[in-house]
Amino acid sequence: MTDMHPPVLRLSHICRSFGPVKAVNDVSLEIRRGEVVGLIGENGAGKSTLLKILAGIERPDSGEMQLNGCPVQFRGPRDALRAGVGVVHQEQSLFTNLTIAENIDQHSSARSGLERAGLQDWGRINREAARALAKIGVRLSPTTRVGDLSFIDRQMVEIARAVCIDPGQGATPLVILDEPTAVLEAAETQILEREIRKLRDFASVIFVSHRLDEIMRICDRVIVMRSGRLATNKPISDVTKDDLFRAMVDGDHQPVVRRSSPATRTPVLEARGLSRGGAFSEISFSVRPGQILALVGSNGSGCEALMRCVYGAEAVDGGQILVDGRAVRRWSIRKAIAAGLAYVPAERKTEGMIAGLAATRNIALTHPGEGAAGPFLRPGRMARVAQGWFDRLEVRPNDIHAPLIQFSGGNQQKVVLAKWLNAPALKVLLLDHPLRGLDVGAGAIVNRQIRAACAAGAAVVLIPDTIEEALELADDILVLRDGRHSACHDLAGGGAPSIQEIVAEMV
Amino acid sequence: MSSFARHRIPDGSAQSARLVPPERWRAALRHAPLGMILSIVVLAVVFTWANPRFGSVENLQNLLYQVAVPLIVVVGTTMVIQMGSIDLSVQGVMGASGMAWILMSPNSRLAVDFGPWAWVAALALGLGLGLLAGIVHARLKVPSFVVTLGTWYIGLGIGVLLYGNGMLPSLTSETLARWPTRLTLGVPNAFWLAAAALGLGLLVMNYTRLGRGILAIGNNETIAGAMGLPVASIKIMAFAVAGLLSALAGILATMQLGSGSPDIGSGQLFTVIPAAVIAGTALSGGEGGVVRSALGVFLLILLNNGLVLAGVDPDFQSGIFGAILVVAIIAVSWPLRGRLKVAK
Amino acid sequence: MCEKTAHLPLNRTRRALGMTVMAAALATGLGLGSASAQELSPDEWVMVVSVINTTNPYMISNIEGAKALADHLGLPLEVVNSNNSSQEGISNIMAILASGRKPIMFVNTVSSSDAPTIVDAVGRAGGYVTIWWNKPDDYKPWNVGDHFVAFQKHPGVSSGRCGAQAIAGALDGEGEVVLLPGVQDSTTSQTRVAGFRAEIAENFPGITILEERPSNWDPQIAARNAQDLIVKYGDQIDAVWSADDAMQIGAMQAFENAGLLNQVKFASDGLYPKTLEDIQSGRGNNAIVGETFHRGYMASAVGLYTAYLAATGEIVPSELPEDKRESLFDLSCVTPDNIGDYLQYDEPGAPAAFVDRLVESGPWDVAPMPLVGGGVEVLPGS
Repeated sequence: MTDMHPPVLRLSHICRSFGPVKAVNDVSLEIRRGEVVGLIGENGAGKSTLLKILAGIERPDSGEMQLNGCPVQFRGPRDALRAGVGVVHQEQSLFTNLTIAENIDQHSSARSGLERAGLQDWGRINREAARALAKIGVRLSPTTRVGDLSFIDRQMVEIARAVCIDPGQGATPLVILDEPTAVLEAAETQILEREIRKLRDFASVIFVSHRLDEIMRICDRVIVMRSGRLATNKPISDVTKDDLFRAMVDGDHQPVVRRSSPATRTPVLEARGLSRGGAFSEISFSVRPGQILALVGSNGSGCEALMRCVYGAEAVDGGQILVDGRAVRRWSIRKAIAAGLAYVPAERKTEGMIAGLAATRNIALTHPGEGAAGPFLRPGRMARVAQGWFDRLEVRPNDIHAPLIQFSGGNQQKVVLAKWLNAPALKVLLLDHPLRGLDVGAGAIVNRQIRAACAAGAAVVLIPDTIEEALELADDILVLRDGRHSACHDLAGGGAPSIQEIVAEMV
Repeated sequence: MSSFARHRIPDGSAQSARLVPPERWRAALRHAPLGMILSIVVLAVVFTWANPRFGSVENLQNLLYQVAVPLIVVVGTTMVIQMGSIDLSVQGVMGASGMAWILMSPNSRLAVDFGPWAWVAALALGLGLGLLAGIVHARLKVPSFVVTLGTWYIGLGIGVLLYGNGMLPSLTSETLARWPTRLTLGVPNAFWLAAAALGLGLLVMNYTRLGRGILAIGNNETIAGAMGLPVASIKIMAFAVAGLLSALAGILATMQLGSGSPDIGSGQLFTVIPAAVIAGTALSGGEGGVVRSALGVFLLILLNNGLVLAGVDPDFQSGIFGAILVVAIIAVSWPLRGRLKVAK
Repeated sequence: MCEKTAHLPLNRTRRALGMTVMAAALATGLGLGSASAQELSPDEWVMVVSVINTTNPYMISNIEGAKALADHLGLPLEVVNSNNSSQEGISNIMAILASGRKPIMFVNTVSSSDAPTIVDAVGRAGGYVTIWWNKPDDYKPWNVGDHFVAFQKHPGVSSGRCGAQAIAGALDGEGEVVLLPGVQDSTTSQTRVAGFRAEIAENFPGITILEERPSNWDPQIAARNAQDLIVKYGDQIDAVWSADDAMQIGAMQAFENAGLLNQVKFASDGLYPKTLEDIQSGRGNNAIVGETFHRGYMASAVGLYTAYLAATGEIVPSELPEDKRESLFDLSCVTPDNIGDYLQYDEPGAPAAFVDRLVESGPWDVAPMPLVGGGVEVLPGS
């Protein structure tokens, strides 16, 4: 259709450098009313910087930005918000100890008489929040504490916050969703997709994701960034997944080949009739060296809790855990580690790493190996071990002494994985959403390491992000429904089930 | 389609946080300090059993009287802790304000009586010390731990200067000296004053932009800044309010003792900060609340009072106090314990 | 038992002048060298008064006494405030010792265990120190050296006995008492409590001790404990004994608030100005019946002067009898009847007057606190 209105967003020759690095290099683009534009690119391609410029956090070195036809210059996040640019951050930016209404209100500039007197006008805040929530068709009580919400609901709150602004007559709000699906379960992702389609009616959307199939499904147009530049800017109907992949990594997509079935050996880890009140009951499984078992289930199926119990991080109410065929009493994390178990948690930042500590120290944390002699650390050896992993896993930046918090999510995950792969006698690798929030390149490296560990004789228990991931990697799939055993597939032996079959077993 | 489906097909009703009434009740209960209340009730029952006088009206009035000073202090301390900062200056501010107040009220050292102006001056002194701490902390980005350690000693220093080498100033006005103990509706005035402070705290934390800003900063200061909240002003205000409340507590403590001393706040810091923490106010900020902290103060004071009434041998009192406290804390934090939760 | 020290051979490292002075001292029977006082140079020597804090009236008085003596002797004075912390006290003392001048020091130790550290440091700096109130019992000056001139205190047992006599007298030998000791593990508090209990047990069978509640020398804690005890015993309580006046001030306020002040008697230690005022005004139907008298300025002046004499060489610590190195000084029992005798010591200028008499008659024989004994205080009945 022909559009009489000026584009919602027009960027002309935007540049932003950090020292010698051109993070955003001469980017020009337009986004029209009601358009959903996918933005993809590997970590470090310049997406984040571009988003920060749009959100008023960074200022461009040169170039012009127009919103709804008017040139704008943001001096801070508030300016961007007032101009109608709402960002749903990758790292959620809600105050978890405040109510939904208050979080939505942080953006709005309406001020009543009460508020000018320094008081909280709960009536106005709740009313406006209810209106914003209704606008996107979400039924949440504005007085609920955000900390009590699930991730998807928190994202709904962020979206409501983004659209509650009224940038002025005839102007269209621009909602930026920065990897919203990274932390969502599959079912929640569907809800989000539906919400995004609804947003079209009154807003334009920039949707950032690492998952190409999501982009293909949701977006009207896709922009690929690579090395700070626009590599592709095409309607979605004109591209295929492979095109996008090539545009991102500037190389060929190498699909992973299914491995042959591992030799039948005695199970290294076996769970018998594990139960935990409210989470799962009577779950049994076993893994042999070299075998990959995927635990699949919808949110609340108990997969995560099961894995945590197997690692000893949560207590089980019943059942047994056997290591090398022997039952272990009073299972705990220490015993699990001693038995050669490793656990890569989904909550990487809070449970998987010590953010302020250097990468070297993080790698040496659990199994210092030659990095320590008795109670003493040997920094030189430790650094050599870390450098080895950095090279093998292509961690960027290649600085083993930088605190881990300074690395991007994908690179953090590599370090977390290295910490466990460093174990001298790694027997079982427990992976809870190992690819969550990782870009394609980092994901491939992590997958390669998982396979290498398998080939070296480790067993893997995996909770994948998607069913495809399970089908691609696993030898066996255990499907859980509402905490109970639903189905079990031996992919190597009995042939692969279809996605539809697995979905049917999940619900 | 290649994504997970879900047993409840999303049609708008399947989203996870629909709060139907029973769930809303559960959510409310989750944030209620049940463990705290339970601990207090259990202790009260045990102490009454040990000595029936524990439950007497006289002792309840005694408890309310004793709880008043730390209760006033803990309101301000909690606000600051909820912001993710800490205020160590309470004892110094109490000393300075208490001395300032008594020297301007009818006292045995100086023949003066400034009446209400004594209150204004003493409270202003506390407010000033709080402002100073807040400004240095917020504007010069000095950690609050260090700044308030400094204002603690500044306050103590002011108290010592006012105290000088002369006679211990004691209140000569019978009306003022008796005011804290006098009963209004069966409750000592000291407690009414504390209740007013608590009410003020609740009002600030729940019904003002300041209070909600404090919570936002405590939850995530970076986001608060990015959202355009006036972070520095809110911090300064919070410390000012805390200073004001410490000053009020200093005046009340001086009145209760009947004489002035720079050490009037002695021991309060280690009542109020543990009280707040026991009650679930995280030192990292964001969580807890003034009502919880108030219950924490009640717990500590009640524990001490109960042990005396139960006639526990002084040699064992500290040990038993600690042991009961640990058990009570376990009860309080039981609902909060989570998987792999790191406690520091 | 401890070895005799009075006849140590003279082969210690002494300067010629010291030898002369010592000979003179021996000649005058271990008394004071009369005319041979050596002037100490203010460039070389510094007086140091180290107190636990600067908010307690007793500590402030300690400082006043040191000032008066330093003025009299023409030496500079440094004040060390420990802020109630051993660590802080010790590091502040170290800082002063590092200045290069030799210290003549009075230390009111925060805790007993501080004494050896401080004494060693003073020794290394070439100075002389007197410790007041707290030191480990088996840490004897004569085993340490001349730089640890003396340990001095008022006997706590006498203080407790004074209070017990006053209370028993006021109650006519019949009644029930509660006790408010100080910090529970403080020797000072323990000896005072032991003295009180011994006096009651030995002489006043009609007096019952209901309970003791340690109140940390803190008026507010004392007030709180007193309130709790009032709830517990009601008007059963006839008298309250506190280990010092600060706690008594809190306790009296609690009884006054409960409307019981007129029926209860109080006794304590220290005769704080506030207490003096209450006795004189007859507060609470003459509620205060007994006190002990000692002053912080006297303690610091006596302590510093003893160290000063060692520094000038007028006394040789190793030549002194043990009771002059681990000394107990008299403590006066004060009652409302004899209180008039003690008012002079709180007049303005009293510290200076006391210092004059001190320099005249020496540290062991100055009214109202002559030396009355020595050694570790023996607890009655233990």
